[in-house]
Amino acid sequence: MSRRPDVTVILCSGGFVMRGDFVGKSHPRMTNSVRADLDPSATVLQGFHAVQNAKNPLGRRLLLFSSSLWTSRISLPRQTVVGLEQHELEQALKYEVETLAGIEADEVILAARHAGDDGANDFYWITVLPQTEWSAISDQLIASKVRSIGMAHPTGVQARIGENPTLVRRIEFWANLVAAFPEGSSIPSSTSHCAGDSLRWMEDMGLSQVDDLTHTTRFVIGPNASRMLPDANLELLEDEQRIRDWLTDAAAADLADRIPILTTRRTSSVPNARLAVGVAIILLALGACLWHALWLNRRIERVVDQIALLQVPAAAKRRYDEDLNRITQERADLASLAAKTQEQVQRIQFLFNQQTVRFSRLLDLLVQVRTDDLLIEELLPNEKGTMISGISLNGESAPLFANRLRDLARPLGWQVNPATQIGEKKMTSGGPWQFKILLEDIGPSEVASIPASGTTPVADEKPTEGNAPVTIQLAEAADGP
Amino acid sequence: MVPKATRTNRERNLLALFPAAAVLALYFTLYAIPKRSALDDHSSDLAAASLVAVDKSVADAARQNLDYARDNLQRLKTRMADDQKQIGFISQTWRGNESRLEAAKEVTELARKHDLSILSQKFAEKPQLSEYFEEIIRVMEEQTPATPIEYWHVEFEGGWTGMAGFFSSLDLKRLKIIPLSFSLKATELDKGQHKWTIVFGV
Repeated sequence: MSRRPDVTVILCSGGFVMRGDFVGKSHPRMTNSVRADLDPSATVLQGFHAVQNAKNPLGRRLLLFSSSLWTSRISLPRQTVVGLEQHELEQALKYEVETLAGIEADEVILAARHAGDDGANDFYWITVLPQTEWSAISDQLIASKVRSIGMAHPTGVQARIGENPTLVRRIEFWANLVAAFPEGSSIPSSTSHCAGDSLRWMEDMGLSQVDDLTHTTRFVIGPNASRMLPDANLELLEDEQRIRDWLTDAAAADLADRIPILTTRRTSSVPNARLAVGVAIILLALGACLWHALWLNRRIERVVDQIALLQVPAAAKRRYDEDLNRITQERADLASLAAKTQEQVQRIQFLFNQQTVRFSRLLDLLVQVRTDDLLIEELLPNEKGTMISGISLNGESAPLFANRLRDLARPLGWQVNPATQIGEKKMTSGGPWQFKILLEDIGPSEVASIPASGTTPVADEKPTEGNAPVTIQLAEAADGP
Repeated sequence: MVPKATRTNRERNLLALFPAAAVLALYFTLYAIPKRSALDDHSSDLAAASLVAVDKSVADAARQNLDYARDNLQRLKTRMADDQKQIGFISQTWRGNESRLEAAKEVTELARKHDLSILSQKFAEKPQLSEYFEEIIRVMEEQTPATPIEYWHVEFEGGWTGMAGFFSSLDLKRLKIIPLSFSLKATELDKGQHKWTIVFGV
């Protein structure tokens, strides 16, 4: 792969375009050259395309000289330019271009160089190019990684004519421009766009006849122009070696101080600035996104924390309540079981503490409460307790007997049920009566307190007529009911 | 597509804004909008949580109630365990095979003392007992499953007061027997002699 050149110079004028690639900055050496024929009316862009070769990359710096660019020496009244800023002066020159060349001021880019004054007017040497052409070329060059671009009219580039070019008055004759350079000056004293008409351009430059010129002036002539001045002291820019020399001079020269040249310095700042602004906006956008993300996350965290703060007591209370319900239920279940167990303890204790006493006391009570007309025949255990059965001569005796026994038997752990009796109807009163009284085992009662022995208080309820006395001493009682 | 060469400055400026717009669009699409949705969800949760929120003092009060209930339950369990222990203790300590002969001698002696004649005695099946005693027997036998209660049927003949005196004189703590039921069958009413049957649990 060939080394990329430092400078590429393209000259585009008349019917040809030639490109030269150079290596080295102070003493450039041509490494490649390309020449192509070109339509004389071709635009700058078309000329560039004719020598743009992808196999040979363009140099890092590119100088494009084309006679298609519009260049001229124009004057502005001094009083109109005094105090103007650079951009205001540039705008004023563009208005002049609009008047002279018919190109709208807003659609051109312009390079200008002060070209002296005559006391009342300031002169400027300017070069202009339509903005669209400039953008199209510069975009392609930037895409080709050309760092620096310069575009100018070839007028004034060739300063070396003869041994001492600056001491020679010269006229440069290009396809569409004639420019006159005074002796010792690199700035044109006059320009004319009537290159095809010798009388006109001579008139524009204030010259009387060609013969005078041919003896006193040297010409640097653009291609195909020899026919215009056949007898003059010509240095024709037609053979390839002369064009190579021209390109080499252009590559070596510091043209920025000599000719008005359109460069990317001014315009490239636009994409650079645009790039910087774009990057700044991206950074701003990223910063805004970061800030927004942080803010959003903080809000979410705050809300989550608040939820947690609210949920902790509520969850704790819910858990406590659930545990309380469970424990309450468990206690309720256990309470009945505990009560039953306690009752069992009491019953067992009652059994062991009171069983013999209650049997003994029951027998005592039966003797005491019984009346004479009532005979107990059997005491038999059954599934409820103990069944007392016997015979009564009085229909009221058995119920009264059960009734009196009820309160007395309760502390002993019996509940006395009402007497049931059946009359045998052997007597006129319907008796005798077979009676049954159930003493139901119910266990200890709260008031259970059985006297150890001795008399038992009996209610004052009087038995029926002819019955036994209410209170009977156990020792005195008849042995048997 | 519009060629690059024909783009205007306005288009170029807009193009310069495109990466930033793309960054913002990606950020909002992939991150901000989902996060915002999550934030809305959390806010809804917060509102819902606010509706059911309680003060910490309420939660503390609920915890105190829970502690009281736990203590109460524990006391109940302790009491119940004590009752079970007591049942077990009583059920296991009132019995003893070594005292059966002593008990027989004591019963015979007491019968003689109270003019009661022992007609017969035997170990037989469980007699008719009330449901009340059936339950007590069941609970006690649960405590001593290997040694079920045996039933000693003793038939006496004697008077009413004699039987009452017999019961009064019976010392259960010493004899390790317990009268579970007794029955009376009157025989000779004029002589006051009756047939009594006492079933002791042994």
